Parts: sequence; structure tokens; C-alpha cells
Amino acid sequence: MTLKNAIRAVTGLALATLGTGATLAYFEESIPMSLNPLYAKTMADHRAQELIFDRLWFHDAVTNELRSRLVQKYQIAEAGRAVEITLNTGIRWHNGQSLTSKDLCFTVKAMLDPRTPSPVAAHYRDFITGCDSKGPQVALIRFNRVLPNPRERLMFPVLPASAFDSTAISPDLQFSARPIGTGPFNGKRGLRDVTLDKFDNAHHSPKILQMRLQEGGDPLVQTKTLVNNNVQGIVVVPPPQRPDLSASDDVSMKSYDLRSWWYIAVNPNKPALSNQKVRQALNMVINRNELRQFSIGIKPGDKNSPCEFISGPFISASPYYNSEVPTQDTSNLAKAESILKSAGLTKLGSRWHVDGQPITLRVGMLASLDREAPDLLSQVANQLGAAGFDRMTNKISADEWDNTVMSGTSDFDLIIGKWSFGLVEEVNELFHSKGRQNLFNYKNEQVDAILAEYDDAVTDTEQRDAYHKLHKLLSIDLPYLFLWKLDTRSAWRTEVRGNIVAPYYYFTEIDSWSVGG
Amino acid sequence: MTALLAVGCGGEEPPAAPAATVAVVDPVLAADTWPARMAHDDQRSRFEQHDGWRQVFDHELSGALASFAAGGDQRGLARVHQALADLYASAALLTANATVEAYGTDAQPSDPAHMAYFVGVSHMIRGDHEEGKALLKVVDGVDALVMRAQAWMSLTADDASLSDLEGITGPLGDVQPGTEPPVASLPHFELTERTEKANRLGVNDPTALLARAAWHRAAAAAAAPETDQGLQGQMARRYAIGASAAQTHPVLAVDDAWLFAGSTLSAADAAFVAEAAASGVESINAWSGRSVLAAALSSAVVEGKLDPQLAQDAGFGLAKQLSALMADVGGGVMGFHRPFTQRARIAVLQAGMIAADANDQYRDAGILRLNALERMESIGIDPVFALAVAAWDAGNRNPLRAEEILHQFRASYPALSIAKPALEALHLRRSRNAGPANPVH
Repeated sequence: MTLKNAIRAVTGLALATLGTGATLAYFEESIPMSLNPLYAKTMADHRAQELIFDRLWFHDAVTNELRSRLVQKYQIAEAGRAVEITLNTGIRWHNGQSLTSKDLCFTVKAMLDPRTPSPVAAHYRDFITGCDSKGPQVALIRFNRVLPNPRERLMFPVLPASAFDSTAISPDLQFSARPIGTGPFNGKRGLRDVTLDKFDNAHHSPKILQMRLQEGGDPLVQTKTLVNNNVQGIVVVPPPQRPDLSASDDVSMKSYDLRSWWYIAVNPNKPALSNQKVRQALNMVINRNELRQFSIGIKPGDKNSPCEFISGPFISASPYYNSEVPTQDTSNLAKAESILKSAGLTKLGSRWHVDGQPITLRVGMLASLDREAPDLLSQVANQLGAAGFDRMTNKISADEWDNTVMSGTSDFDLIIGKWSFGLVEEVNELFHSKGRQNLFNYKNEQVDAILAEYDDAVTDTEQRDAYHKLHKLLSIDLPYLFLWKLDTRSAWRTEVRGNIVAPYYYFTEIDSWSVGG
Repeated sequence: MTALLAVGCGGEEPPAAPAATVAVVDPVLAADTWPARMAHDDQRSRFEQHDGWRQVFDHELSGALASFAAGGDQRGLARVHQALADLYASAALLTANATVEAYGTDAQPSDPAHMAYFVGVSHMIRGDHEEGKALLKVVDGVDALVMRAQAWMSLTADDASLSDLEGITGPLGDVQPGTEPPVASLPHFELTERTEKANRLGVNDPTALLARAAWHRAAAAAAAPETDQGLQGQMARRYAIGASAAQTHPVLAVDDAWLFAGSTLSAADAAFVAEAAASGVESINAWSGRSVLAAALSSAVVEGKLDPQLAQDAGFGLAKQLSALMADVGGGVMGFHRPFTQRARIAVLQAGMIAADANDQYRDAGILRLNALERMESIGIDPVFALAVAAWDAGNRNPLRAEEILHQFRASYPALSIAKPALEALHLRRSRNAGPANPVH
């Protein structure tokens, strides 16, 4: 499809949705995988869910003040082991029913129900023990210990009891596509978009009639579509498109506080890659400077670069980042070759062999990442090829990613991905041998011991020190080849006014957004 | 093409010629702004002939200091020292806010015994003198901290002189314009956590940043002609920490060295901003006939409040008006026009922020603050403003953006590392008490 045709196609799609000035269409990284908050796996999921549901408490996107739209009042109870919550009256679910304490307790019980296989809920089981409805609007949530400020921990979206038969909530219910919330928009997920219709409520009065979330395609097409006012926003603008949009008076670039870092996960269950030395050699094969330049358009020495190399599983500004561990910016093929030989690999002709067989690396990347870092997959493959590895590349669909990569059953040798974080930058699930997000079932007893140290830490400095040790160990053992952190920026038409972007959740302040002339 | 203009172009396509533009301010006021006046080649040439000005334009203060130190523009040198003074004052406030939130609000029984000094000083810097003195009184056990606490008992952050502050943190060396004081090794103190492991905790005294700010302020005064002293005091109100007393300010004679590439667009703006920091929206009304920033913002005042959306519109409108004016002067649109007018747009947001803050519109001021920071991304982030945003964030218990700002500028201004441990502690403590969150892709 030519660029012109692609623009026409998207334009037609978008124009069909733009009935009034109060309608807003925007491009997302991907179509959300689930609109059920218990099963948010992508940032697109979190952002869409923020439009449909209310979290019990949340932080103001500007002042960071702790607020709630649902809670009228609260008090600490049972000597700090519980909190009694009185909900506001008059709040309706999108199905017309009233929000009551039963809904809040249903949500808590659903999260506590071991038959609810939600990774998010699993963490709440660590400190919530139950919830009792004390009246139509009053609920008591109990904890297994005294929590210094329970509101900070109770930021989960509230679910409607009436929409479920049981507290065992599975991810494949219709609710994941047609959810019912108390949020400002009533959302429905289709195959190619999500339609979000305004829902006036006692606690929300959005000024936008309808929002339409579309999956962004080619970044250049997204940009042209935005400039031509056929959509009003792009949530994630890749760095190469940012200068043009910044120079336009019709578009405002918006900061989006999100901590994202990119990696190449290495499958240690493959014969060659099980050897730490081979992983270390691969780390030296990768020329990050070139990857960044050719994929993201950032040259070495560029000022105010949105992309900064990392040597471990945190961004450099994080307190958990161990700045004593150096980054590997360029390749060192001579050293890589020496390490590979010492690992027992042989080079026949120009190709590396293990046990007499040529090594073919199967490299995958989540397809949607190709928009933010175009050609990254082929650039990585080229570098591996130049270093003497045969390789096969695959762009992985969202479904395959969810079904195989995230479940630890994929057969790739290397997977390119990114992880995003908010205030909490815990990586235990990624690297613990029993971690729920351990992509290749990586196992290292020392890593497990450090993660236990982190969990058992008495003070925050002990936690930080544990993660510094983890960073150092991972930079040696290399279950991931750490690439970079990449800042996220959005672009919205200037007709979109009052558009405050909340850290991480994005649409928390959507009620203030409007579409002006 | 000179170096400055080349930078001004920034590689962007020259913008299209502006369409017919509605004047948001009196054209006479617009014509008096530095962007409009610098559209004239002869007025701009002074700033194109010195590397220091290119570095000021690019917000490279350390480089500019070195360039101006070589001679050629004493006011340029003074301007850079003043900016560095503002930078370190904001860093002191950042450290103080993070310290109070981490070790005061979120204090833990395992905290070292002597944190009272650091929390106490931090309260003093924030202007909470009663809380500060109450804590400083109980400091004991470590002689160096007891001496510092006693010295602070008779000071406030507003009136502490360089010698007062050096008396606490040690001498910074003679004030010599064009130089920078050395950075002491960090951390300033190592205290012991009250746990079985008895880990050592590095802690820094924000007084060191205040002292550094005072040193640069003194260097600015020494570098500038004596006739600029009054103006320097007026300009310093923009980033002054602590509450400002309501006070009227006259319009002073201002050399362009104090305005070029900055957020003060005209001489009257300096007086307006100094007043707005204390009087808020009232000062917009009082100055709308003289200050271009006040004039632009006057359309955003609704029933005694500053409307942040209207203030953003005013900034956009002023930028368009200036763009048209500059095109008239230059006989067409030139590459440097947009970076200049974008600075004017940001200046409106910043002035609105200052007025809103003084008008008890904390959240509205925050909206304008964040918008101003966002707008800077396309033309270069001013480290002084960014550090002030970071300080505000830390006061709001939000460590994330502050960490990124500090990380971005620490390499250029190593003394900013003093702020790092307190900010880290705030993040770690908030993270430990936060709700569960999984990494997502």
C-alpha cells in the first residue's frame, strides 16, 4: 500500500467516526488485549481501562494529591489492620445499577479468589484478607498487617458484582470486550477499534461525546493523519516523527511519564544459549549505537536524547539502577569471537557451530514495537548475521505474544521487547525462577536469593542495595541483553484542550479534556 | 549565517508565513519585547558575536560561564552567575522537599538517629521556621551537626548571607566571577540505620546548595555594573524560594543582556513578575498596560482567577503576534523566528504560573508549570526552570519526573548530586508503600 493510499484508508476510517466536534479519535500502540482491569497486560490496556473504570483511589495528575471519585470518607479501623470506606451515593454503573459497598467487596473477593488467575490480583492477596459490607455504602477492607497508609495501596479499579456469576473471574469472559464500569466512558472493543461513549454520572461529566481508539499503523501515516485532523491524537509518537510534530502550530507534544526499557531476552534453554559465555558474547555482538541510530534515529552525542543505554533492568534515573555497571554501547567482535571459542563454539567458514551444528537464532519481536523502533528486528538480525550467526526473524502478533511468549512456552532464541513501569519498578516477576513474567523460565539460584533479599528487606535502602546487586549479577549472567530506556511522547491536536496526561494511567483527568474549534 | 542563527534554525523547516494575526496585546508592547527587537539584525548582532550567548541560548550554563570568563561581556557573565544561583537555590529546595517528605512525613523507626538536623534544615529552607527550629533544637550526639543546627537557629533561608552559609558548610573560596566553587566529596555525612545490619546511609546537607547559590549571586553582583544591582534583585524574585512579601516594583533600565533568550520579555516584565510572585492576579491587572506578559495574561483572568487554558491560549496568541511582527521586520519568516517566539509563549505560561501560585491556585499553576516544561522540549529545556519543577514535584511527593530532571542535568552541574540521596529515599519509600504493580509491555 502506498503512503497516499494508506493515508486515504485511515482517513476514511477516521472520518466515519467524526460526527461532531466533541468526538475524538486517536491512535494507540495496539488494540487493548483486555478491557478487564484484572487482566491488564499492556499499557494500551491500562490506558483504555482508565476511561471505563474508576480506581478506588488515584493520584492527581498535576499535584500528585491522593484523591478518590468513589470514596466519600474513610477511616482507619481495627488498629490499622483495616480501613472503613464510605462510598459516594448516586454513582451508577454503565448498566444503570447503583454502586454499592457490595461491588467493592465483590472486587476484593474476586481478587482474593484463587480461581481468578489474575497476576494483578495475586499481589493483593499478599496483604488484603477480606472485605465486609457494613451497609449499602460502607465496606470494611481488612489487611494481614498494619499498613502505614492503606489508601496508597488501594488503587484498584472497582468491578460490578452484577456483571459476574461468581468471584472466580476468568480472562475470557465477555466482560473483557464489553466491560461495565463507573468511569466516564462506556467502552466496547471491536476487532479493529474500541469505541468509548460518554456516560454522565454523579462523579463524571466528560465533555467529549465519543472517543475512538484505533491501532496506529505506519508512524508516518499516523503523523500525516494527525496533521490532516483525521485523528486528534497519537499516544506514542516515535522519536523520528517528533521534530515535525513539534514544529507544527496545530499539534502539541505532550510528555507522558512512563518508565520503559527495552531488552533482548535470551532463551537459556537452548543448547548454545544456556552457556553464560555465549550470552556474554552476544552482548558484545550487539552494537547499540548503530541500532539506536538506524532504528530510532538518535546518533551518538545527540543532545537531550530520549533514548539512553542501560546495563540492567532499570532506567538510569532510577534509584535501583547500579551506575557502577557500565553500558555496552558498541560491539566488540574480536572479544566476542574469543569468548565464543572459549565457550566451545567453533567457527566453520564464517558461521558459528555448536556440537558440529550451525547455530540458527530465531529472533522475535512484538510486532507493535516496530512502529516505535522501526526495523529494529532486522537490524539486530543483521548484526547477529555479521557476527557469524544464522538467524530467522518473526514479528510476533499480540495474540501469540500473550499465548506463548508471556506464558513462557515460546520457542524463540531471542525476543525483543520492552517493559513499562510506574512508581513501582519491581522486576522480581521477570527474573525469579517462579516469576509469572519470566519469559524463558530463566533460573539462577543467586538471582532468586537476591530477590528474596529484596522481599525480606527491612529498610528501603536494603531493598535498593539488593536491586543494585541484582543489576550487577544480571549484567554478568545476561538473561536479557539490556538495550535502552526510551521516553514516551504523545501528540494531540491543539483543538483538544485541557488535555492533562496522567503519569502511567494517561486518561485519569479525561473529564477536563474537550475538543474545541 | 552566524552561529546563533544556525542554532535558532535548529534544523527545522522554516515555518510558513503567518496568516493574518489578531493582536493579543498592544502592538507597542509587543514591539518592545526582546524577540521583536532582535528581529532587527543590528540589535541581534551583539548576541551573535560571542560564544557565551549561543550557550545561553542553548541553556549550557557551564559552557557559557567559561566563554564569558574569557571576557567580552560582563553582563553576560553576570547573567550566567544569576542563572546558576537560581539553579542551585531550586536544587536546595528540591533536596529540602524530598528530605521532609522522606524522613519527616514518611519517617521510619529504622532511620538514623541524627536525621532531625536534616529534616530541620529542610523545614527552614521551605520557610517552615517553627517546625525547623523545633527539630534543630533537639539535634545532639554529632558535634558537626550540633554546630550546624545552632548556626541555623538564628537564620532564615531568605536572609542567610554567603558568609552565614559558608560558616555552616565550609568556605567555597573567594568569589571570582567566571569561576565555580569546587564540589565537595559526597555524601556529606554517613549515618547509621537503626537496624540489625546497621547499614550506613549517605546524607547530604541542602545548606551546601544554598551556599553555592549565594556564592553565584555574589559573583553575579560582582560581575555586573553597580547600576544593575536593583535590577538583579528584581530578576531574582522569579526563582526566589520562600514566600515573597507584597511590594511594588518600579520599571528599571534593563540591558538586553538580562533579557535575551529568557522569559522576561521586556523591562516592565521584570517588575511585573517580581510583583506577581507576591500579589498574584492583582498584579496582572496593575501591569497590563505596561508589561507585555501581564497584557497577554489579562485575557485569562476570569472573576479574579487565572484560567490556565486561557493563559495557554494567550501564550499561543502572543507567539503568533510576535511571529507576524518579526516577519514584517525581517521581510519574511526566518528560521530563528520560531525558537524566539516559542520562548515568548513559554514566558507567558511561566508568568501565569507565578501569578496563579500567588493567587492560591496551586493546581492551575501546576498545569501551567507542566505545560511550560513540555513546550521547552522542542526548543531546549532550561535547567533552571526544570530544577524548579523538580523541586515542586518533590514537594508534591512525586519523585519520578524530579529524578529524570536531576539525572539529565547532573553531568553538567555535578553539585546537583547533593540532591540525589533525598530524592531516592522519597522514591524508595513511596514505592514500598504503593499498591501492587506488574511490569507491562
